Amino acid sequence: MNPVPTPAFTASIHRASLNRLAGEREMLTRQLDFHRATLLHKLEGLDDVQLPADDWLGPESLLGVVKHLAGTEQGWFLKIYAGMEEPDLFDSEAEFLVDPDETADGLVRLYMRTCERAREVVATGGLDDVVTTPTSARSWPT
Amino acid sequence: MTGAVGFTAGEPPKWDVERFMRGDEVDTALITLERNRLTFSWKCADVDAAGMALRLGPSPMTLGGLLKHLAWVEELYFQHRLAGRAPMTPFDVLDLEADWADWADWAWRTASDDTPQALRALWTDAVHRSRTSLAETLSNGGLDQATRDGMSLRRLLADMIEEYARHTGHADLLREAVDGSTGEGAPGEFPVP
Repeated sequence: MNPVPTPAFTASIHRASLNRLAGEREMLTRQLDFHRATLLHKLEGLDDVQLPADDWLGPESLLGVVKHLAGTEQGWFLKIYAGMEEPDLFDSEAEFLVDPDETADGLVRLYMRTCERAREVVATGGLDDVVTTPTSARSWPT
Repeated sequence: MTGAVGFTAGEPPKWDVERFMRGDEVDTALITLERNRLTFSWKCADVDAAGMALRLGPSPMTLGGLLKHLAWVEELYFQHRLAGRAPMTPFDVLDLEADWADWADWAWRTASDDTPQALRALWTDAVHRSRTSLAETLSNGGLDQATRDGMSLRRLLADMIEEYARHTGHADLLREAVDGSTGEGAPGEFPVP
């Protein structure tokens, strides 16, 4: 009897077409959502065996990028902007590395949940709000 | 030539931290675009012909091809769509809209015909022309102004920032493969393209 194959990943968010005449807020938020969806569509049709493949990209596998961006969403929107005190999702030094017990499904769910929380925070804030950036970002822009 | 405040071609950027950190919509869009161009330029600096032609895996992308592709996008957006002007040579031989698919492949096919100096000069010339077109448009109004294909200037700038952000990521990986160089941003003395 053949083993049951792992279902291939299917991106579940829509790459909405962008409003070409949108105002500032809609343009920014839809642009961001468009790129969040684009990232997930790059995982489309791959399974867990293929996803962490380290060929020429080395440890920066597609899932490593998902982990990095989940951490970035949490860092900028939830912790820095909204001031939420919660532990980092991942160790920033190792977030491009995928552990053997991490699955595509689990990491993508975590990423999408974090994006949803970020959307909620942005929706209640103002574009001119000023926040205190962490020490690591104070050397900006150079 | 007018770029975002503090970005003069050939000189290190003079960062206006107040406008970078807390600027209005126009400041934020222009400074972000210039910051991305600066990073892309740095990734392509001091790369020889072999480096310009290096490919990764099955992708046809190269640093030389990225310079040609982004020069073309600068001309398409800031000359054809924004200013209503003809693009410069060599982008003036095809219908930029009708021959989109052919042009999309053109940069990767033809980059190895040019020297690294010529590739960098082509892109830099296009950037200078874009700054002129943008300054002209902004002297007449804000980001709600319509461009020739129905998108607002706001949308055009967002698309252009996206274009650089995505391709600078490709350039990150290509440059690392060329000589091991990595890094997020150019050193402070690196000149504005």
